[in-house]
Amino acid sequence: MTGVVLVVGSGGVGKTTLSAAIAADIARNGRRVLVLTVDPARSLARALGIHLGNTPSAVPGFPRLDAAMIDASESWEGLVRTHADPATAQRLVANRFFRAVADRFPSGQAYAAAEEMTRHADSDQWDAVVVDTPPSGGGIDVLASPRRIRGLVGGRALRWLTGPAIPGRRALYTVTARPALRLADTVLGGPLLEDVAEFLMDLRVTYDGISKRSRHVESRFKTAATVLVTTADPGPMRETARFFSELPEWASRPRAVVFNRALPAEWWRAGGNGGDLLDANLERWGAEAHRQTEARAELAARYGMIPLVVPWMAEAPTTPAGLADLAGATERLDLKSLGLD
Amino acid sequence: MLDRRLLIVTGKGGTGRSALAASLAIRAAREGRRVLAVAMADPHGLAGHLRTGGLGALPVEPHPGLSVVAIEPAAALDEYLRLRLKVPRLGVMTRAFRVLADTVPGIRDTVVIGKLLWEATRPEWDLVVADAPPTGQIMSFLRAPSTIEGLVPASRVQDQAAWMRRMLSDSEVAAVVVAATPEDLPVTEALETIAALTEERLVAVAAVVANRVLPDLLLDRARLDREPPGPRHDAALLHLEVATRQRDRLGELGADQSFPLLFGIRTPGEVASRLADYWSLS
Repeated sequence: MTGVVLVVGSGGVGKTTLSAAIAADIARNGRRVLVLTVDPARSLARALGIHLGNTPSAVPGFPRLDAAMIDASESWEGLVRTHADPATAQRLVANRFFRAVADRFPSGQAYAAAEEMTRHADSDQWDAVVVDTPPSGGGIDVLASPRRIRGLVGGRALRWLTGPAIPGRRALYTVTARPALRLADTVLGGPLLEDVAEFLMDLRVTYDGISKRSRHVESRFKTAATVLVTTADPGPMRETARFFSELPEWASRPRAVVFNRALPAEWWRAGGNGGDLLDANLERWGAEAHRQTEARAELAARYGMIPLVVPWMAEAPTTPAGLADLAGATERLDLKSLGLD
Repeated sequence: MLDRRLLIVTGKGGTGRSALAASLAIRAAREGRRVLAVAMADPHGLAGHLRTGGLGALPVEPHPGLSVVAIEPAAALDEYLRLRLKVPRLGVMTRAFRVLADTVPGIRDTVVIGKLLWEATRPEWDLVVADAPPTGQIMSFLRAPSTIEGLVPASRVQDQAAWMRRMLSDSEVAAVVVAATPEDLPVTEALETIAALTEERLVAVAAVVANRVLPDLLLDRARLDREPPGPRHDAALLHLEVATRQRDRLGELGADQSFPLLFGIRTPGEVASRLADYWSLS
């Protein structure tokens, strides 16, 4: 069975680079692997030879490694076409609210990532799928998205608009006969709610399909190995705490915590007494190294996990081989240590 | 810079947006302005940097002249319906609008932008500083009023949206501060955001700021090569390499102001009050 590695963490901590690195290392060790990224830096996109879109392509010159970049609109369109009859699917895709839901509904992009992960993992084309999660919500959004999506397509909003029984399409046009909605339309200046109801009505056709599907997605999360990435900065440290408290509801405990942009602990108070330029510089960097040591000790004490350390580099690797070296140099980021072998 | 009524601070996730917004609010208060700092989305960053403890829909005043508040979408929606749309039967309308807000994301974004603009017009404050969502999401907030204006027919909602659009695009009222760290992706996102803002004439750009910039080491490579191996050598080498990369990115960004990497500073509160010294306000 295809193993899934979920890379989570706050924005700007190097999740995308780490995801690519883990995948490249797995490929170099003889397994077929797909990395799904969200928004790679130009240099990383170049390193992976990525084309925009959900279709995986081979990374040039690096056997067994494929990459794809998640496109939420494309993913949602695929979902709707799978789970609705052609006429309804066409109406939905053409609807002005559709793109808004796919691109802007807080869980729309997150669920697209979850869906693509599941689709590719189910295809059994790869030994492992490594997922770089969208920056907002630090990964929890992705894990919570199947439930939120069921709420949206399950018609909770629709039931409120139309009353306890979901009516047929014809009855929709009497929706705004209800006094509360008439009032809303007066304020809004027109039958916007009717349009919304019509859209939700169409979306509801997909409920059984998407509901079943999203539960399958959730079962994938339960068996996935999560890798949490952080730095010593307060934002990422706070997100890490949040992740440890909220994760058990959705997935297993993180298999690894990666501490990125790490400095050697021994730089703290390593300077001479000369007080020259290099000593002054070492003193500054040493103070930063010391702050990191404290942050890592805090993580270890609080969660009983020794963070894996990735050193501070002036530049992220720009070749797949460089990426593989990065993960290869970090112990316990291989499939076996992640419990997926 | 402080003559405007609303400054919206954005930047890619991880660039120190909240720290910069907090430091700007602290600095403006030091200059004698009555300031309201607003957390538009996740309030934790601003709460930490301004040492407020928990932050909610009611303003707290951690320092004299500096108040802090978080926008809670549900409370902001109620306020919008009650005060702006003057809706009489709140219970039923609130539910109708929550349905709308879940389906038409522009509505929620408009209510949040509206809340900022209403605060900016209140006589209690000289300046409102917003800790905004990251660059990836800020455009949909700033576009929301004109989106809604185009989506709904003539009505009170449309009038309100039109007012918001006009206020935002008035460069004497509102402007955006775009932050980036001198790295590949943050700079790209900052430049894309600035280009989109300028092209669509949504909001003026007050300043482009670079954060976590390394100071010049004034050390040449030849001198470094003579240094024996060890931490002194390694720290200087890392500094030079990172600084060289940063200089390239800074060249692309073309920042108006830059803020240093604060080595070894532990608490968010310390970071914000230290960064406050670096704002150039002219």
